[in-house]
Amino acid sequence: MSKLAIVAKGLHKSYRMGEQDLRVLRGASFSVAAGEFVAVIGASGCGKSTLLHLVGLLDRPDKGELALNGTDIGRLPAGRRNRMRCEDIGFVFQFYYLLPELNVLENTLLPAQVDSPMAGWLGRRSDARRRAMAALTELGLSERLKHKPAKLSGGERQRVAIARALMNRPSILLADEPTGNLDTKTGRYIINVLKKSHTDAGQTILMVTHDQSLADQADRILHLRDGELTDEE
Amino acid sequence: MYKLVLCLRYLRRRAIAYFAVLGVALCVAMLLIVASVMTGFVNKIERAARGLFGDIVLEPYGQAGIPRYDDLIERIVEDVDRVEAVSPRIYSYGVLRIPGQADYRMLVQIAGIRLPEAVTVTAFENGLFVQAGLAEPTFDPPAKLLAERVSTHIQAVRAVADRERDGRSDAKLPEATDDLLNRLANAEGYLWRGLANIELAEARAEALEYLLAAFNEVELAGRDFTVLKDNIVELDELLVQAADSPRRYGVLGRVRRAVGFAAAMTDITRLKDVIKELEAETIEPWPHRVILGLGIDALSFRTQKGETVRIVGPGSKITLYVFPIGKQLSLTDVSPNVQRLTVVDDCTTDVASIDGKTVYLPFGELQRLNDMAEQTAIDGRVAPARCSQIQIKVRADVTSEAELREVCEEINAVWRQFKRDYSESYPNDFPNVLTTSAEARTWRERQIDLISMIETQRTLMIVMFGIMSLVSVVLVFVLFYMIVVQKTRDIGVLKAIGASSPGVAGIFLAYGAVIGLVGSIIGSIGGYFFVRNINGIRNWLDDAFGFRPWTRERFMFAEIPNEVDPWTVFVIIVGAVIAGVLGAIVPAIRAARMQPVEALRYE
Repeated sequence: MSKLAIVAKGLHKSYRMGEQDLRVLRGASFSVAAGEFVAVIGASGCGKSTLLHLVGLLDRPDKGELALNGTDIGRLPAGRRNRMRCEDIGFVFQFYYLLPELNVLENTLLPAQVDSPMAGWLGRRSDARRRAMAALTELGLSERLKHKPAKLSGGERQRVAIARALMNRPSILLADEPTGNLDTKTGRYIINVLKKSHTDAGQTILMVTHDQSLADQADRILHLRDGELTDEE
Repeated sequence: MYKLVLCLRYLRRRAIAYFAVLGVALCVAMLLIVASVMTGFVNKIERAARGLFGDIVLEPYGQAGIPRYDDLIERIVEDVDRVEAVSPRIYSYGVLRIPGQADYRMLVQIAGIRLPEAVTVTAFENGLFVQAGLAEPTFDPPAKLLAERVSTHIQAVRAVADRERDGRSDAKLPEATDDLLNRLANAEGYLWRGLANIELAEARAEALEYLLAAFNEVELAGRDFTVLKDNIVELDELLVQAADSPRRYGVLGRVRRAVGFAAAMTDITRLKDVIKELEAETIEPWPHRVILGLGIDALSFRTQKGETVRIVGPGSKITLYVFPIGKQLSLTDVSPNVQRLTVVDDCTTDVASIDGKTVYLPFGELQRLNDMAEQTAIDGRVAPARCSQIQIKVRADVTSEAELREVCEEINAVWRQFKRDYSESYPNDFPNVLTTSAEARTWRERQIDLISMIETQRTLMIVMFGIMSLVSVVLVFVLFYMIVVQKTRDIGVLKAIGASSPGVAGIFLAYGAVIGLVGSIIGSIGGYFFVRNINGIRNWLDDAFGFRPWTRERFMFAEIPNEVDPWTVFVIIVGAVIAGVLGAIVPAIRAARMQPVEALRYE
């Protein structure tokens, strides 16, 4: 068996909503092998995004264990978590979340800049730019480098977001409803981009969606129901 | 790296940032202007105070004065290394009157100074009108120079009148202009009379010189009076030339008559008599001279444009009633000593309270008028000549107040020794100096009231405006809070791609610092040019709107100080950067503490 990229055991997470606790995850357990493309499917509001946030280290579980690439991240200090977020994880969001002040190229470069102190950036700049240009060219955005996100279509924005997510060559790519805000055709294009990175580069992908046809593109589908995950072939 | 990129990008893309920069710039400019102008005032007053009294003043309490001051001065110069120059002064009070103006009387302070010696100690020469730029001013400036200055001033007064009239007829003049024109005409009249006096003195000097030459020629030729024929021809020519100058014409006429008479009667005594007359008039044509402080009420005035118009100018006569407060032998009889004086110059020290009530007499003259000259009592004892104070200039290498204080102590030691030796040195002197106590004080100590008042005002103003500048901190705070709220989701994104909390805070702190820096640089440049051109701006406000925040007739200085101290600029810039960072701290912390998940969910 190949190495496991993500191992989650009994993840619990609840939010306070007014007087009562909203228990979103109640012992979700799953694992994703390195190089695997896994989709998590479930109804709206069932906790798919919460699960992704936990895996993406944007949030901490109330209970349960989580290991990424064999590292138990339960007790990791904030600095290490930041580094992992930066270097090991790429995020693609439903609403793209590009910074409106930066152009396409700058948005793509951002993770490389976050990863680099000011002095080191000068040395790494040309390399980072080359990689960003290559990624953007491959995504068909070579003509759009100097454009601001506001000037781009939804599909283009999502492609920039994917280029950004892949900038630091993360071992894990997390996609949160990546096509949720796009029309079917563009959505298919985006999912093909993801699949291509999976098949060509062996990118590990964990994608959450409520769309069965999208989930069908993945190697494996997990169902999130009542805060727990069940496998389904 | 992303911090810098984002910080600069936010600065350029956010209109809100421009407002913050503008706010900071305005506060900085305001502070710089206030600090510069007030500091300029303090500097001017300090310079003036130092220029007035020298670096150190040795002064007795009361009006008894310092006897044998020349001996004391000699001792000070010998014993105190760091002293460069010393000069005695006398101060008294009197009433100034103008002949022909029965209603005018003005209480003035009278300073007796030794010229040109006094300028080695004080900056007296800087503010002189007639003798401006002369290294060694005296109470006896050349008549030619006087005439030239007064003529120029008359031209200037006329130019002011022409400008104010602006081609309008009398009927169309506003009341204020009409009033001003009357005052200008009055001034011109006085100035002409002064000029006439000067010309008379000049003509007498010329005539005397001429007569002496002629006399010598006659004597050399063995009293051959035929040599005077040439002189008569020459004098007739001179008389034609002098036709437009009645005083010169009159004096030359007298000479022409005397020469003519001498030639006709072959009589040398006639020439001798006129020479004697002229000598009496010329050697001391104005035996008693005075330099006026510029700004004494009604002797001069300042127009709204800042021009000084002299009314009682050089050549004019004044009368002084001096109260001999230095009188010692009999204090029961203090009747004023009256003296008619000719104005030979005027002087400004930049301190209106001094210029407006001080006149300067030759040291010896005031010593006499103030009953401070040497007197002998019936019993044969001597009341020695006295001065009111001794002004001392120290060498240029004495710069700090502490060093100056040391020199003061050395001078005090010399004074105490002088007192101990006094009875032995001058056994016949009455009264004994042992009853006199005096102390040397630095210029700052002496003027502490005036200087500290202005300094307090400056501090108060800066504090007030500094508090107002808190506005800029609040401004930055409010704007940043808005920016942080607007940027909430971006902050979530940044954190999602690995930015640390301090990193996110750093963006906003750097942003605040950059806003402070850019704002303060713009503000400093703006403030600098405002201060440098503040007098031009003042004039423009006056010309364009008739708005006068600064009335020249009232203020101490004709010009608003326009110096900018680089250190002040530096402090203000640093302050603005700190203010920017302070304003950004709370929003930055808020941004840093934001949970990425919540930030991403933010709509």
